[in-house]
Amino acid sequence: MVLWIGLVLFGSGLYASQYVFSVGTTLTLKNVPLIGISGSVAILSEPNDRTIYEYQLLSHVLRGIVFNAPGGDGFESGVLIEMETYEFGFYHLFLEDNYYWGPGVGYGIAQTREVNQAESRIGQQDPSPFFSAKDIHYGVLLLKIGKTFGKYICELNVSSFGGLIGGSALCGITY
Amino acid sequence: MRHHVLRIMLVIMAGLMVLSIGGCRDLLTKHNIDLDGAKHGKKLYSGAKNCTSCHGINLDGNGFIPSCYSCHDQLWNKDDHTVYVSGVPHLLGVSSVDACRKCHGQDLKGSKIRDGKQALPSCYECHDDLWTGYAFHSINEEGYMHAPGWESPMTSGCTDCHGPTLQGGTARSCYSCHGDEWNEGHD
Repeated sequence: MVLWIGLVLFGSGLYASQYVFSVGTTLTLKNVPLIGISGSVAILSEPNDRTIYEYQLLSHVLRGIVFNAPGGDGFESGVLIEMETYEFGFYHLFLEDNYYWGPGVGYGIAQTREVNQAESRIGQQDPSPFFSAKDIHYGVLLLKIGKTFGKYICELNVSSFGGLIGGSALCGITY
Repeated sequence: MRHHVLRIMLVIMAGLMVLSIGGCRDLLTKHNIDLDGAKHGKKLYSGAKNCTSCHGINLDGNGFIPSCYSCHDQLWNKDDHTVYVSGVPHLLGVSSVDACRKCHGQDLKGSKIRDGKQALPSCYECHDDLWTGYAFHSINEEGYMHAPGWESPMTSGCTDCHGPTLQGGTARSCYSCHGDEWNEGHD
């Protein structure tokens, strides 16, 4: 991580840079849908008029809930899933007019917690594929499209999100 | 000069990207633990969360990397099983098998296959029929289950399983909690 930060500072110092602070919402699609809020801090470097390198620190706080259909014994289980993640991503973006888009890669660390998990029983399917743990590491492939409105930006990030498949809509301000 | 620096930066970036995805570095060649015909990586024995870098945050696959749930049921991945005995995860803080019965069944024989998937293992796979001893360990002393006659262990049959000196036989050593007090006052 120290190396990453060093590289970010080194990279941002080479070219004209902007800092972006943004917030928004995130949704995952696979398995149990999770939804929540996200915040990010990013550095944009412009090596030329058509290219942007973006180094982004992104945090998600997500929640989801899943119920199991009652079995023959009427037993029903429900699980609230809480997930907090911190991601570091690098994007190679293309800039045209006020639009920018491009791919990225990243790495994240997540913490998940299952709340009110019913006691599972033989023959009773656990409704949640998640599990409670800290320091869950995952990789992400990213795709970003955004638009600038003067000092403001809005962007849409599509992410593999460690297999969860999701997306974030963020809006923010540049300095 | 600036383009040269740019190229160097991109090469470093590419390397770091590989490293950043490098959590997923136990590729197929390192999956050489064969369990029921399926290849597993050695991180399997360090807890399910160590598989997430490749198999996804919730182990349900990540791109072309398969889901663990295609073979396993969803109960096996609970990371509250953090006590490893001979490489097998056990639930933390359990002093009575009653806690195990909730999932592994009243008879502790589990449900090896459910809906065609690997489900809960039987405790008998490792413990054989030692569990039957727990049925008459019905006296709870400070969270630890004891059998009737535990106050005079040398004459009440404890030595049959806990060893002739109570330092462990097929069952655990009484010394692990009691120290050597059995030598002093209970012989």
